[in-house]
Amino acid sequence: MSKLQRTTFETSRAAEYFDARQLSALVGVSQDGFASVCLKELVDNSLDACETAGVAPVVGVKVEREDDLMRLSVSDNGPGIPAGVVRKVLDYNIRVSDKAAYRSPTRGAQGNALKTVIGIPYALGSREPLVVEAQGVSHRIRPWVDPAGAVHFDYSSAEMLLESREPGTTVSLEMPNAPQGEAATVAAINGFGSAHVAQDFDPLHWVRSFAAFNPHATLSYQGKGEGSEDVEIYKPTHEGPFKKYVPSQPTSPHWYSSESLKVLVFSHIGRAA
Amino acid sequence: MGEGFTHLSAFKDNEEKVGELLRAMQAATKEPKPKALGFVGKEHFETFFERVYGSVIETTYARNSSTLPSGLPYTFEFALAHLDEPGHLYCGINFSPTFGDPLEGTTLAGPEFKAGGIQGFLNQAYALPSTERAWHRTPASVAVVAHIVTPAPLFLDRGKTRLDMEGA
Repeated sequence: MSKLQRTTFETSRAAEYFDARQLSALVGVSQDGFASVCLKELVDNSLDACETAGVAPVVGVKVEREDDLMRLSVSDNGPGIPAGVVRKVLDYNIRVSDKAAYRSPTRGAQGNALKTVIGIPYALGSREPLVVEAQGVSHRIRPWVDPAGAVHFDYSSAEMLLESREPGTTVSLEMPNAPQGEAATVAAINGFGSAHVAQDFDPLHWVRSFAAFNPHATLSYQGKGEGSEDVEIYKPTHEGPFKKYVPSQPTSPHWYSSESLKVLVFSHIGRAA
Repeated sequence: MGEGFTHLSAFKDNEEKVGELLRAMQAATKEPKPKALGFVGKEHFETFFERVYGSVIETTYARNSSTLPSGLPYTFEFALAHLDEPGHLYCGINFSPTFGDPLEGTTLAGPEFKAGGIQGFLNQAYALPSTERAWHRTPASVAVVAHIVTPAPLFLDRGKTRLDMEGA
């Protein structure tokens, strides 16, 4: 009898971002909170981008529910995410973050926000592309995971027509959404065991929450579904620049420990190498 | 410290010197006051409550700045609006809402009682608005905002909700 010569295969851990159960462990939120994760991460990114650029943030959230589908779109008036950064985000072997190594009173520092947002719709069963529009370019990102667990991306980018270009960044995604009130897990829909999960998602509460903590920002919400439409706009209550720490300000050495400064120093060394 | 160090790359083989660099930088700079962290403020919360709930009977606001056991500064601000009907609880860290109570697991002590977390404290004070934890009790006719600002918050969970108040 011939002997089996076993091959040692390497499996990317990127697949963790595209499996609902593993993703849930990664972000620390149950699967029915995934839509909330997308909204929060995208609005955090939008506010940070605007503040860093010295622009008073104008952030729009649109949610459209149609049968068992939900479309979420978040837009801002920041400088727009550069095309190179979008492509770097698709490298799941690295973290792309301008905050992870710094210690400052800034919003989330996970360094994988957009990676998570790309993974969530797929993990919930969507096969529609996530679309990022910024700096005149429309990026369409459709992830897929092969049976061996390797992650692939169907990625395309196209110059946008001048008349459809908007300042800032718009991220649009679509995810399945089982009707509210049903059992959380309704039916497995693909080979990875992902399932339609009823999202415990109150986008208006999230938008109001962001409005509560950001007096300098304009936040708008547009929700459509089941024949109704909600629109709420929160305007800034602060005249002039808002007195808060912004991500472009220097950080203080008093906010670091030896260990956290080592992270910053060696991140710089690694980047220069 | 690090004689002749002119580039960060010099630390590559002298990792322990980073501590010296930190101490030198701290000695050469003033520690920022907690005010530098920023805060939202009473006026905005009042406007926010009126915008969301219409009629507001009264708003109470408190803000406190201090340092954590780790030495890191923090500012905690808290606003409570008395309403005609139950409102909501809004919790945030560094100008961003959280998924839940950031002080869950932290004991908050007041002059009359102590309780676990913001929700527990409000519950004890019969001032917990509509939340999942208020199922056993009629929610109070209030809306509450609790906001913590601190550099480098450490979290006890991957959802970045529960703050480690003892952490460095």
